[in-house]
Formats: sequence, structure tokens, C-alpha cells
Amino acid sequence: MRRIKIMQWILAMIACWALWGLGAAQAMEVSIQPQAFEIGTFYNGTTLNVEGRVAVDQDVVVRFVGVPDDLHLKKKGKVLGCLWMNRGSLEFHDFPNVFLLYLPKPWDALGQADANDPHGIWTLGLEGLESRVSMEPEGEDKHLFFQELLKLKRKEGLYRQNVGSIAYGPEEQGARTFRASLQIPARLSEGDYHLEVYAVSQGRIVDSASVPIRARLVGTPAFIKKMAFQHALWHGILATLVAIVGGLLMGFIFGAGKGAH
Amino acid sequence: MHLPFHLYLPIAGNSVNLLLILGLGGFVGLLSGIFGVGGGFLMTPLLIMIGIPPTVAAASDSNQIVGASTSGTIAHFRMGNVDFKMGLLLLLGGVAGGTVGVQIIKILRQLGNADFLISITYVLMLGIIGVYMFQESYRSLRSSSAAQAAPAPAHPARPSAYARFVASLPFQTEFPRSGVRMSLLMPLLLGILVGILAAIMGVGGGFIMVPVMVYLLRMPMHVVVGTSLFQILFTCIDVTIMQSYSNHTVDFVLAFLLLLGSTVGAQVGARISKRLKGDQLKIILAVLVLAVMVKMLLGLLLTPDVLVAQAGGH
Repeated sequence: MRRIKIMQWILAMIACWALWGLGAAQAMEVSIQPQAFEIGTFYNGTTLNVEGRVAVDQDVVVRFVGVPDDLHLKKKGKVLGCLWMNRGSLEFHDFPNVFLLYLPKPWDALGQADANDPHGIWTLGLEGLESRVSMEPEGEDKHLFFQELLKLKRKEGLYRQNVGSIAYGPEEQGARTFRASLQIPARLSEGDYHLEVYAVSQGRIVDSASVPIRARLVGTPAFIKKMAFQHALWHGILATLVAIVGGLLMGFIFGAGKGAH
Repeated sequence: MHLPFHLYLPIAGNSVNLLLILGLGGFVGLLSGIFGVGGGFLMTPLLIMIGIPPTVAAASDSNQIVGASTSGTIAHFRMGNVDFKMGLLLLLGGVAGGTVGVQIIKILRQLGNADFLISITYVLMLGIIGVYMFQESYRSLRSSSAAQAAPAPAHPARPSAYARFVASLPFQTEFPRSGVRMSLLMPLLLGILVGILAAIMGVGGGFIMVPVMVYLLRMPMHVVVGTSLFQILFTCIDVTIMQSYSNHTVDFVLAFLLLLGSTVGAQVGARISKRLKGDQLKIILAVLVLAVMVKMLLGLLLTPDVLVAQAGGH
């Protein structure tokens, strides 16, 4: 009996060691700098650096996404068979305003999982996003308008896919380092975003890490936005007065210049 | 190539190139100074093209027009080109007409066909005004060169039916700056008409008001330009304060940058305007109006690149 207990204890120890070893091989280490950034007067986009270690048989996919929100759109259609204009409204739900995707290689090279696999890498891309968002009215062609919305967002530079943008270091003890520099667009509003790092293998997500990134208005832009939203009437009056004074000043400068000749 | 001067616009939520904004302001201010139009019909689409949200573009543009038209009005006032009496009557009519127009557009939106009617009204108004101005100025330019060769007729032509109608209205008064005599009702009623159209089309109304002053109020072109700017100044003050209060869409920094460019442009424009003959001014403005009309028409006829747009724009 005692021998059996000792055997069970030894087997349990072996199992723990094996699981710990497996976990060590798969555990992804991630470091992100900076984890918040400021939008000041001269903000023109910024760079976030992502570094870490991942098992050598795994790849890394990085996403920078905005908080899913509702988006109101006008849809264009033909009137009288020849004139294109706004015809009705659409509303997308749970649609992030920013979606930047960084891949080490093309999707096909990352492996393929079953299309119904909830951990398949397809869930990380635009295909996965399309399955998560909903659209109203429901009778409309969701796929068509989702694709049109993507065109609009790509034009704005807020939806991007960057293939080959993750660099790997040399292999060491079954793992390798990775590094990516994320170019955050200039057209960005104050708010909360998420930087997500996924370890993928054979078309499936095997590990992930998510870090909230805060974009905060500071200095003059923060002052102006606060004034525009919290003291709207005074903001309007002040904007008008500055415009009038500016116009008068320019009139005076040009008038004085004319008189001097 | 990236120029080094960028500023972040907190209301627009975007970073813009300082020199590009100054250049846009200067270009549109120049046109404003030359022709007496606010320039909103040009500036707003240009701002949208460089990534400013439509609602912010329209509201901030109104803000900068306040500055540009202040500067332009002063430049024209110094040259004796502002008829304050006529301008105030048109303004009164415009405010009343604008209020009526806003109600009309509300009803149209409820009926669900407002966008269609706005677009069609825009293209038709621009087309009619542009073609009429072009024809009239072209004929006038040709006849003035012919008149230099031929002697003047012995008897002046009989007044038109329109001139007789205007002369028959009550409350006749002198407008010395414009050199015309007519009923007070004329600028008031025409101001209401332009106000209604401007509200329906969502524009300041300068490009409708200028032809109305020239052809229906028979004001000299140079006085038209100065008086139009004077009237636009008040319209845009109202729009700026209302947009800021109701929609928070006035971007103070953007408007200020545009203002820097446009006030310089407006001053230069006013000097160019003075050097050009009235008919030359009219024919250039007619071409500009027709070009905008063609652009809008193409926008209606050609399949758009993207079949959705952010809600809230014009």
C-alpha cells in the first residue's frame, strides 16, 4: 500500500514536471513600450515597440485595436437609375474605430485551422471581425457594406494589415525573441485602445496577452477640447472674436502697408 | 514626402500639415476677396479631402470665413465698396429666409427625400447662375468693345418689364453707395429667397447672393463684392456660435490656421478685384461656379469609390 502511494506521488511529480516544462516552452513573454502616450500640440503619430519571447515552433500576431463601438453610416444608392446619393442609414455595432494588424508572414503561411474553430487564427483578422460585428437594418447585405466600410477605414489609415512586420531573433533553448514597431496613425482620438499579442501555431491561437493602451490629450489640444465640450457657447463666442480680431489685424496690417507707400 | 510642420487638431481628431492648411486658407481667401463669395463651397470639400471629418470641416470653415470676411469687408470698405444700407436689408431678409429654410429642410427630411432635393437644387442653381452670368458677361464684354467703335444711340432703350415692376413697388428709397433707387421690399424679399435656398443647400449663400445683387438689384459689381462680404460676416458669426454650442464641431486651431492664410488671401484678392473690370470678374466667377457644378454633377453620375459615408456631413 505504501509502495503504491509512493508510486502515485512519483507519477504526480513527473506529471507536474512535464506540464511545467510544456508550459515553459509555450509561455509567451511580452514587453510593450510605452503603455500610454500623449497627444499634444505637435502629435503626428507615434511608435509602440513590442518585444518578447515565444516558442520556436510558434509565430506571433500583434493587433492594435480600438474599443468596439456603434458606427452610424449613410449608404449610397441610385436615384432615378442614374444619380448616386445618400439613400438611408446603416448602423454597425461593436465595430472598433482602429484595427492595425501586424503579421510575420502571410496568413496562408501561418497554417490553417478549421473554419469553425473558435481558436483559429482567422478570428484575429477582418474575417473574424466581420463575424463579430452586427449591422442594422438586418435585411441589408452585411458583407457588401462591411467591405465598403473597410474601404472607408483603409482610406482614413485606421485599418491596416502589415505583413512581414514582426522580426524574430535567433533560436535559444527552444524559444526565440520577437520584435515589432507599431506605427500608430496621426488620425487618432483620445481614448482607450488595446495592444494584443497572440502566439499561433498550425493555424490556431495557443497563447495571448492583452495590454490596455491609453491615448491622452495634453496641453493646448486638451484645453481646447475641454472648452469646446464643457463651455461650448463661450468657445463659439471666443472663436468668433478671435476670427474678427484676426481679420481686423490683417486689415490694419495691409492698410498700414498701403499707406506707407 | 512629409513636411516637418504638423499640428494636432483636437476636435477633428487628426494631425495636419501647417503649411498645407495655410495654403488652402490663402487660396480660398484669395477667391473670397476677388469675388465676394465666402468660399465655403470650395473649402469644405478641400478640408474633407485632407482628412477632416465633414461636420468639423463645415463648422470650422464658417469660423474662418468670419475672419476672412472681416478682413475683406474692411478692404472693400476702404475702397468705398460696401453698401451698408442694402447689406443690412439683405441680412434681415436672409435671417428670416434661413429660419423658413431650416423648417422646410426638416419637413423634407421627414419625407425622406431631402438629400435628393438638396443635390438637385445645388446642381440646378449652380448651372442656371453660372450659364446666365457667363452669357451676360460675355455679351457685355463683346458689346463694350463694339461700343467703342460705334456711336451711342440717340434714344435710350425702353425700361424692361422687370424695371417697371421694381419702380412700381412702395417704399422707394435711394441707395447712394450702389447708385440705385428701389423699394425697401426688394432687398428684403430677395434676402428671404436667398436665405431659404442657402438653408436648404447648407451653404452661406454668397454664390447665390452675388448674382442676385448684380442682376436683380442692379448693383455695380465692385459694390456687390464688398456688400456680399459684409453680409456673409454676420451669417457666419451666427453659424459659428450655433455649431459650437449645439454640435461642438468648431475646431478652433484649424479655423485659426485657415484664418491666417485666408485673411492674407482676401486682402490680395480685394486688390486683384479692384484691377479687374466688372465683366471680367463676373465671367471668371461664372466659370468657377460652372466648374463646381460640373464636379457636383460628376459626383452624382459616377459610381462612388465607397458606397458608405460617415453620417453627419453635408
